[in-house]
Amino acid sequence: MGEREMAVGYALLLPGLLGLAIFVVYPVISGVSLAFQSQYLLEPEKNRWVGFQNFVRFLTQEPKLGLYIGNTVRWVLGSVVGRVTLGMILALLLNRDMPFRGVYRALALIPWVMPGVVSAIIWQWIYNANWGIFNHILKVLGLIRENITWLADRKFIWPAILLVSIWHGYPFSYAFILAGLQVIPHDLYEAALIDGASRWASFRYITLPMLRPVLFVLLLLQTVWNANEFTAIWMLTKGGPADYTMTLAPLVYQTSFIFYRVGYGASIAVLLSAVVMTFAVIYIRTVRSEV
Amino acid sequence: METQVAAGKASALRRPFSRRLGRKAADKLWWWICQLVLIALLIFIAFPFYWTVVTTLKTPGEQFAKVPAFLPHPATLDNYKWVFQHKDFMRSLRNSLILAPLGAIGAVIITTSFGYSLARYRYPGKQAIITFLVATQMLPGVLTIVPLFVVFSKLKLVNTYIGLLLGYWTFSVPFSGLMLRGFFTNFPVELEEAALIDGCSRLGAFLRITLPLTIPGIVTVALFAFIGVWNDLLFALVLTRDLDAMTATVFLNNMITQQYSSTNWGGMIAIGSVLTLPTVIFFVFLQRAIITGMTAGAIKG
Repeated sequence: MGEREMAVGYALLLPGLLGLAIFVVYPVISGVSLAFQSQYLLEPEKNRWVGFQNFVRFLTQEPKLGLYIGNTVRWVLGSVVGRVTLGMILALLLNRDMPFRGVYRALALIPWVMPGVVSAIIWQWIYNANWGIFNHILKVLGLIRENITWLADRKFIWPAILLVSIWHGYPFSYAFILAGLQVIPHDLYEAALIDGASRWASFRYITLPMLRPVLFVLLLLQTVWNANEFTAIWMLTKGGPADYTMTLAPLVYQTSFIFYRVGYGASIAVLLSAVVMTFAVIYIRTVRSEV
Repeated sequence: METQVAAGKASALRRPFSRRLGRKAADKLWWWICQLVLIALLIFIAFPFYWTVVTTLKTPGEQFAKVPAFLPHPATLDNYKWVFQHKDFMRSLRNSLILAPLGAIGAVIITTSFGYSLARYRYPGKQAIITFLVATQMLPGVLTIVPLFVVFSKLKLVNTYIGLLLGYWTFSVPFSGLMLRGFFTNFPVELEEAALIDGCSRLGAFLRITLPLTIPGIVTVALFAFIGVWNDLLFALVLTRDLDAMTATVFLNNMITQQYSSTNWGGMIAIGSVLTLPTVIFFVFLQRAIITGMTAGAIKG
């Protein structure tokens, strides 16, 4: 390929790269530099450089630091484990022969089509303390006697929001694992069957090892996405009651756009990004070694 | 090799139960147990959709009944009437209906040229660009949202269609650019070269040979861009101010958070079902493209 070819190649990249420079690269750089400034959105005359002060303040003087970090870990762990488990179960169940399999497989994907905002409102309605169907069903089943305020009661709020996260987010894991299952050669299972292996043994010694690379990538992606999740928590609880469900991503939004402490918010965002990017590096290395 | 070892290990564990019952009967029993679990899970999964539809067909009296009814009686379309007569919501819906298709078209144009370049041309820095695209997909949106607001203010793009579109087009590049690169890489270059020999220009060969045969990938890009714009909350929440550009998701969000007409659950959920409708339609007709997009985007790097 000559120089002309190279020029054409770059020219085709140009619109995308230009957009990325303006709407991604510049904002990232400027977001990182914001973290080293004291900035208030509505009072630009007060802006000044403060070095690591924002970071130091967040890491040493923030009384709820432990709560925020704990919440984020809780959210990520609960969502990732729940989504991948449910996705795995459904993928295994739908990888068998059955009539109308196409319909079932489609049905298993549908939470994906619901916008996050809509998922939040319908679950708020399902969980509603006075007229919600969730309380009603549990009462009919005899599991509870009194209505529960699912999205305010500290005893129940975490399982409640994690259930929503799992319901709305598992279809990706399901599709991903199902695709992985379909490339496992059939004769492995047939050989195991002839040898008299149990179902559990087939799963443990054939399915799981063969899915390992798929699961590794899936767990990494889910960890990153859930750590970054803003919409679900913000819409369901706003991080309440009293920050009891506040994770780092909605905290950044709240600090920046509700309290207008832009510099401080940016420092939290940078810390979150640093953690997320270590996972991203592992992901990139993995993917590249496979290609 | 490794697989044989795995099968060998599997054979080491025998299963006495199935022998006692007979393998066939045990298989059948197991199949039915699985089927029951599957159906129970699918009911749980479909329930919120069912409940959305049922709620929107109920009168307020029934929505707030002590014992919720599983079917509306009498069924009413009042909630939907309220939605379609809600002038402010209809304006926000109009914005979404304009922005989402334009977002999809622009994304297709930008990411097709981007992906094609990555797949077909050789130049220094390509691997760096690919790594950069993968990393970009993993950055938290909240990191860039404040500076984006500043950039938009400086360029006078806040609360404008073109501003939102430029953003959405750009955000489609990392995911869709990589996905299309995969599609174009898998497309046999010989077919294009044959067209070149026959006297086609490079562009002609691309438009006449490559493009028609990579339509599934392009449909996926359009679909994901459309749904991305349609479902987006964070970006439009920060970068729109009023109904001149506010999207329908932001409108619904404001309605929920301001508890403005908070008692009208039927109406709000009807808005929700209107917002879910386009994706449901796409899903019914373009399921394959959705699955391709979901699984391809993450694997190609």
